[in-house]
Amino acid sequence: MEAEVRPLPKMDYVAPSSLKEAFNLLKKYKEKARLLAGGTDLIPKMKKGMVRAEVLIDLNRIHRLSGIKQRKDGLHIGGLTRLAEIRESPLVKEKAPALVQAISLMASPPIRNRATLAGNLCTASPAADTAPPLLVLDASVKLQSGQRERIVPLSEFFLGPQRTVRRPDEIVIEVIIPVQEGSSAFLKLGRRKAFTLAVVSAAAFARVRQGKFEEVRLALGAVAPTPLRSRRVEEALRGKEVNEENIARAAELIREEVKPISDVRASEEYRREMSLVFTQRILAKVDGRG
Amino acid sequence: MKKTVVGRFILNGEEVEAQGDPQMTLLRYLRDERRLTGTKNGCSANHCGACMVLVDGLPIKSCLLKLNQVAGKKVETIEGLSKPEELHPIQAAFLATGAVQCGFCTPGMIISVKALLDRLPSPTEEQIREALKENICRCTGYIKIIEAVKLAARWIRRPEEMRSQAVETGLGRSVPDLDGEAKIRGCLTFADDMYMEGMLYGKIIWSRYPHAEILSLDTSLAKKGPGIQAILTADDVPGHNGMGSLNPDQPVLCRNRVRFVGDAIAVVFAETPAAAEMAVKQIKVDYRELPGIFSPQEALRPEAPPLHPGGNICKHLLHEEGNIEAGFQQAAVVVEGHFETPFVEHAYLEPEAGIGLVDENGILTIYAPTQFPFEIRKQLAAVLSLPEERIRVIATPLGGAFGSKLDNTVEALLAIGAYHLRRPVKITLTREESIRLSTKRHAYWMDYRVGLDSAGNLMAVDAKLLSDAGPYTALSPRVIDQACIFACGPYRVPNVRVEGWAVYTNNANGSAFRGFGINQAAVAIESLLDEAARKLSLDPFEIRMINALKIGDRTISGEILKVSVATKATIQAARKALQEELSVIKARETSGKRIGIGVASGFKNVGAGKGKVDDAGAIFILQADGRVVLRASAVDMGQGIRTVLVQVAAEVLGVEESLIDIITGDTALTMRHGGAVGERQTLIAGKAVELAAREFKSKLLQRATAYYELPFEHLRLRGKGIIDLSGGSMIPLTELAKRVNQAGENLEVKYYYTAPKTYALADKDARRTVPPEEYRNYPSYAYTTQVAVVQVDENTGQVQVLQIIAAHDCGRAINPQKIEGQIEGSCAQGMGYALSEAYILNRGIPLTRTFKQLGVPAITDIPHIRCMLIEDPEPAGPFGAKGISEVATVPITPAILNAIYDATGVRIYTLPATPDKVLAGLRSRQAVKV
Repeated sequence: MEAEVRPLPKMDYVAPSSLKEAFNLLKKYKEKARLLAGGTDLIPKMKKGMVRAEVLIDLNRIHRLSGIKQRKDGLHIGGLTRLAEIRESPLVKEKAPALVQAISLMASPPIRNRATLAGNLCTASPAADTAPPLLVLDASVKLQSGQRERIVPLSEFFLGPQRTVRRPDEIVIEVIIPVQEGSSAFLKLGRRKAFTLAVVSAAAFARVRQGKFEEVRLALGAVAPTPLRSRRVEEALRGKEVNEENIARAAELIREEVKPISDVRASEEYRREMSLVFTQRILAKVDGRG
Repeated sequence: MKKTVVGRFILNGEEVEAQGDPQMTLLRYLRDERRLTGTKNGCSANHCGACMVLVDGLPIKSCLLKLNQVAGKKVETIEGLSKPEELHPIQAAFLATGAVQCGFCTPGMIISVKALLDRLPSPTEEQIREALKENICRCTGYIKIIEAVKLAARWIRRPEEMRSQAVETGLGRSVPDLDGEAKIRGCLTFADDMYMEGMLYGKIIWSRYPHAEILSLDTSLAKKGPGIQAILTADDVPGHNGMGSLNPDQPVLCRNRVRFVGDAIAVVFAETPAAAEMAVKQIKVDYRELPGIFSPQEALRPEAPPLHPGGNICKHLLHEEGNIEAGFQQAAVVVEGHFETPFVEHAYLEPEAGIGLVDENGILTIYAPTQFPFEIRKQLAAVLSLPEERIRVIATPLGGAFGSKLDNTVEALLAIGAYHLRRPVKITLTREESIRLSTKRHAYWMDYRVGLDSAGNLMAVDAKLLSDAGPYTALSPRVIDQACIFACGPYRVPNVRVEGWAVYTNNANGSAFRGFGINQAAVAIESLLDEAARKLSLDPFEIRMINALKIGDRTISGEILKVSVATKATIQAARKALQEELSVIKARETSGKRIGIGVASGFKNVGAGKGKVDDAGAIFILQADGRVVLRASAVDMGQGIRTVLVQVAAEVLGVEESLIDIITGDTALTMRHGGAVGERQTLIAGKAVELAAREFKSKLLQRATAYYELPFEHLRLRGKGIIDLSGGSMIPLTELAKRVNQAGENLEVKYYYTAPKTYALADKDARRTVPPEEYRNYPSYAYTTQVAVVQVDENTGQVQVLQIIAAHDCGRAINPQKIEGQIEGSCAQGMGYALSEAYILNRGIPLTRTFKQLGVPAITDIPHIRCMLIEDPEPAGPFGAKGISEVATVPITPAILNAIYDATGVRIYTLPATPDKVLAGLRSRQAVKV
């Protein structure tokens, strides 16, 4: 067994200034290339030899990949938009408060200044903090390769740890959060109050009308191989009256959905328990009962 | 390296054109190119906050910030905060409140406070904590930092209050830290802040495996690199290839075998850090992995491969007193338990660094943050095959140490570098290297059985303590000896059987850490005493009162305590304080959150003791300019011993503290002495300074009598001179100094003090032969009782400490603020040990590699701490003072565990008490109830 952190290995580096150029490069190098966004995850992994590439394609010069815009169908956040910019955006604060809360609890300001939304999603860490809020907001991801583009719901984007449906020749152009009425929130459990990684994270969205859950969505992080959208709990609550009993009964279902692991931060059993506790807590934050 | 203009920005109000590698970080630029070294490098990973600067008014960590990211922006560093002749109110408040200890985190902390107060002129405590949660401090426990921010906010609003603030002076007063101003300005020179002309940079090739044979080492390619001056290997060690104070068995550079991942195999010295790093990549080492030993239990198996020629037992000792069987027969209650405590990293903010050079007189000189310059010099003499007199070790300011800068870190590599290259060489470890190499608090496995009679008297204790010494001896034998001496806490126990082992493994190197073995034992004995009290329906304070050591009692190792035994006084003070606060505490109970209160007492040695010579010297010189120079045998690592020694000297002499210039930590200028260990310096160095000062004063007055024909008995030192009480005339010391100079004389006093002889527990002959009245293990002891109030979330198992009450006996408080600082900082460390800290390895490979993963408490984790000082004078100490600091880490950990039990009925036997363990305990209790 080794304990080595190595300097960055030698590789080619290209920084295209247009999407077209980037797609040509991707076509040329295919699996040999890695896309560089903020680099806050990729670069340390490369130094540790966990990720290898012959060519690094830096997307940071493609300006149209970053920015936040409101369109008719919802909020469009460019893939290269920095987490810090999203956190400060009045638009996002208003339309997707859970996302802002999640980013505020992520890493430190300099990391947030570098790290990008697409980067956080494409890393596909089970604990990626932007995923649960985007999942409950029903967000989609726009992928493009040359002239072809497709829109994938985020709930179908993750395949496993470090694995997504993105093909090697595709670039995540933007994330789309649909227009919707309702409230959203995010919670995170760590070892300490600050300065910590998630043991469990949870996000929920709800629209309550006449004391009933007209719509409700729940997602958890760090408790399964991918960020988890909990369909069973949602199904059990949809259309139901907002009360203690209904929430408690529905929340129990989360136990069957999570597939946590044990690691340095927490045991499998503890994560399972906390999934239930945080399901209850996050639902209490959005159920409109104050 | 390619140099290009990276961009223009405003640095501390001045437009600069940054030239350099575009990939260079702002931190490296500030430090290496601008020599603005107030911005510190604690981790280079955005985890610690020591590198905080303001970018357009926002606090930003500069260690990962690339230069091009600040183009066009306004950057402010600690150096830009105030002009040389003034202090910013934040700086002044940090100094006045004692919010500064080692000073390494201070500039970054002050920068964050500046950003906060610019935004919120009157922040709440909650807002202060929120704003500083990314600035880690390991010394202060944050309490005084919060105080400082509140005071700074006030002073910004009312500058006249700041200007009229009187500076404290005198013995028993909170005199501000002597080096405090340099620390708050960021201009105290730590080792990594030193840059020498023609300096080379060293980088180390570490072992890849926890246990392996080195088959070959190929440096040929690496040697050809540009700027490479040398690649040194085991062949280049001129003398004994090993460091270590008890047994020099840790190779400076490994030749054919590595025993842990912190072993060094080669060291590169190059013209630039980048060239050195490049060479490290090009060195090829072939290994054959060997089966490793990853727990002391494995190491003790007969078939275990021996890690050292003498086998795997580093130290074994058995101590028996009275009749253990008879003791248990008399017991009405027997409580027992198996306890486990993990390795813990010291996590000082300053990574190890140093400079080695050969000076103009041919003296090999090492500048490094060491707690023990004379010991390092002795070890280096053997490594270099040089007489000790040809080596000089200078302790640079220590950016925190807590025991881990006692053993060799980079000193030996610097020494061989300077020896061969005859140029200044510098090594600065990265945080990852520091964590990999540095010693840790030992992991312990303990089995305890404790018997008490129906009145609550301790009748018998049977304790087995197994410690993981790691790959080399370091101080493990002394740590286990001490753990055994203190195995039963500050109590009388007539029948005892204590057995201790320190065992070699391929894990982390275990050695000194604040508390030195007592912390682990305290977890066991104090938890079991809590359990016994419940079984006997005794109050937790009461059971401690019944058993508390008092004057005339014998410790379990057989020392009769004669003076300054304050166990009971601390128990009573803590109990009274808790009663005063109980109603407030109870009011904090909310649904789903359970409140619990836990108590623990502790005692700890003052002085290294256990047979080690506890010595110190002091040299006083009247300088030609009338100032007094004190060269004292001590090392300051942020605790403030330099200030305390000046307070002692000024008190004896009767002069102003500001008249005295103190020099410490330099083997060429101070007399031989023990290390900055065992909370010994106030007692031992303080005594040396006191006695030397008495002689010096008398010499000064005699000289004045002779020169000016004045009556000796009427002369007194006052302020900056000598006053004649009969005639009222004043002779300034500047005058006296001139006369001394004209007469071709000098006025100098040298004094060497040694504490009474002590014995180790392992020294069985001493216990037999030394008369009982003279037998002692240590020069003195410090006593404490602490109370912890916790809140446990019954759904998540999360524990929050709400309040700590700490009653401490310090003999005499020479500087109350510094003592509080030691107590608060220790409480924070003891709290981390209880709840969140652990250094975890998987088969010898560290899983805990970064500063963030260590679990060190942040400002948001810290409760209110109420300190109470009890002054039961120690006659051997200066003005009755003894040591304090380490002892405060001892009871807090079990007090928190006892509080968790009080809240939940869950007893935690394996540290740290993480939420999952607490919750599992809660769930299994519920299951039992059903």
